[in-house]
Amino acid sequence: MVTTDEKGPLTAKKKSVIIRSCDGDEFLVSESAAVLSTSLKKILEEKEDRLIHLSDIDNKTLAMVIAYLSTHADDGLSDDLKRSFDQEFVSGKEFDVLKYLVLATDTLQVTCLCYTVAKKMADIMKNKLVEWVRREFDIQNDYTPEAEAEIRRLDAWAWDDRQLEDD
Amino acid sequence: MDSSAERVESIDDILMEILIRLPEKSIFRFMSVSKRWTNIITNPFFLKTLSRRRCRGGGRLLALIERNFFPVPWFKPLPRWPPPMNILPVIDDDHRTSICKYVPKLLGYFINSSNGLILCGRHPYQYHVLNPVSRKWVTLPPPSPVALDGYERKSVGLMCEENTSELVADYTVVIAAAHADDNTMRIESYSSKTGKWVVKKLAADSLGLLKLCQPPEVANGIFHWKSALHFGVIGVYDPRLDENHVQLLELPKDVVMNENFVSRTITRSPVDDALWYGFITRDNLQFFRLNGYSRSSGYSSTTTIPGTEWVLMHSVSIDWLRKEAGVPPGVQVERKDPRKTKKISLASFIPWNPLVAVLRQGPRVFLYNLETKSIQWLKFHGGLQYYGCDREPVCPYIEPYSEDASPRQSDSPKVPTSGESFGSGPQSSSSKGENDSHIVVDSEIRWEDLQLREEIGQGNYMHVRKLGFTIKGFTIAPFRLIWSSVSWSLEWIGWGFLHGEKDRNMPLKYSTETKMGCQERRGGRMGSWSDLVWIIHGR
Repeated sequence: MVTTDEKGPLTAKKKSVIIRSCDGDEFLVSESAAVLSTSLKKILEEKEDRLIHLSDIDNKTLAMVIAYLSTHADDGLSDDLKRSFDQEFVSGKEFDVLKYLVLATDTLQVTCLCYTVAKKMADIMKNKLVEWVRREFDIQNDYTPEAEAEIRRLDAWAWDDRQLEDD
Repeated sequence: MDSSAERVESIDDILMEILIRLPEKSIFRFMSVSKRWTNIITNPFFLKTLSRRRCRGGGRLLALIERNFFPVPWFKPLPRWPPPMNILPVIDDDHRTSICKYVPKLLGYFINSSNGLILCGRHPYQYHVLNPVSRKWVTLPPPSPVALDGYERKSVGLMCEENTSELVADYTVVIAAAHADDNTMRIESYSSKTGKWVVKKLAADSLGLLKLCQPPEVANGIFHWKSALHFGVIGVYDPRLDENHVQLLELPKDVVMNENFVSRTITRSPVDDALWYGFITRDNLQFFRLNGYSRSSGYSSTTTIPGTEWVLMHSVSIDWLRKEAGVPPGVQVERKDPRKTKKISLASFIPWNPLVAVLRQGPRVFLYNLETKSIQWLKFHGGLQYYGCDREPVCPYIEPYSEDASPRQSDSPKVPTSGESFGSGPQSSSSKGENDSHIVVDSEIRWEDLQLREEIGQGNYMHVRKLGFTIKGFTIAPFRLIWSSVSWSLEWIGWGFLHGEKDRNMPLKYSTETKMGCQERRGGRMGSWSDLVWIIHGR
């Protein structure tokens, strides 16, 4: 099955690449969009293979990344439009979705998307409790209660915010 | 828990990208998430990135601080009026403007601020460096007691530096004095890295620097001293270069000879490190830019840069400015009552890109964007709006780093409904049912914090200790009242009695904070004796 996004018919005339997600679905991407990702660019330079298999990115995430890449590869759009697209792109997304996205940007090495997503994640995290962060990132607290209390005591000012949220 | 969480957490690079975008406060808080997070946060690369972000500036304008640089000897109590550090919060954001509330006023006068740090104290012997975000301050050791030998110790400056070893910023404090006869400047600098004062003698080319009348303006890590206007020079000193000379810059000729001068200010553009000079007269507002002069462009510090190097970049007439800003027409002259003045003066620059100038008309302050020529009036949320010291500049206090890509200049005012902000907080320990509960209080209430201006001077504070309880809306607590000075101190122990409807069921500490909050909502009018009734028994 070949899925094309709305840019598909326009860019199909140019060279295009097929990217396969870990779910087995295939996406047709123009080469100009694919080379925005440093790792895809490397693969394309090394071999002439037009089919790239990504074993750790699922359908949903890959579709989002490709939508981002195609928009940024579009020369017809001004920088301002691209910037507002970036804002739209991350707004309203769940923290879980962002986690998958940031992982995908790391695999594909799309720096600008990585920054946008990291900024959004930081925005969500900034007023959260430590416990929330541990839960979301599945971190085991490896401090002893005494050591943790000591850290909190040293920088007590960071905790006195009345607006901290836990959900 | 899904695997994505673990994977995000396990990749250091991703985690760093996220953490670096958090406010400083959150970074400190998240140090207790796990040992790995602490390791990432305290890793030198992370700290370097963080401190670079801190020094880049360009954050939101948080407040304006009125600079009143009176050389008050350290042993004299601070005069009651005007307040030593008048902070005028520009944005009404509980999370951030709380910094303004927590500045301990006992620290003395505001002298200078740089990248989120504030230098304050009592000139010329006592200096403190305060970080209002973490509410910590450091008292500097006294400057060297070496006789000044004809030097007048006059001007003090602070500069914040990058620091890669700790989560706190490094800074340099510089005290400059000029010699009357031999054209030298004596610079005492204190570095937080060494913890010591170092004295250095610098040569200067002309006598113009003699009038070190104001604190230096610090921009991009370089100190700039303005001379008295008729000398028409600026002294430039970069502590990072090991030079023994003060670079002198002559000002444009029209500026020096201008008799209609009102006020002036300097800054460095954050974009190209060029020096800008703002100048306002009775007729127009002008901005000059010094082309080609920057740290890298190889000017020798022993040559005085002539005034012809300045280029007039921007000029608007005062009449146009008045029309745009909606200020009624008037003459650019001083009035006896500064509140009635129609004069527009130039207070300072905000080093944003594009540059923004802070202009002041009587008690009101507005921003003027040099590129778009647009005007934005500032609204203050608290602070003493104006006390009439019209000639003193207001110094912008800018968020130490930029959290947003583009600095927002002000937020829409958000007025919390009374009781919401403190009463329902998770720390409010008592509820309506426990009217007669015991509350353990150990907090310090400063008169300055309450801003009770009548009769009780600075340096006196009240200490509420150990035990307080609330009965039917009245809080009773034992307290210790201390009037202190260096040579004497008077203690008074008794029972305090705090009344207020809004304070019911709240620990004393919060009730006073609520008081302050209410008064801020009333539009900046801070407490009076009727708000807070203390019945005092002598011991």
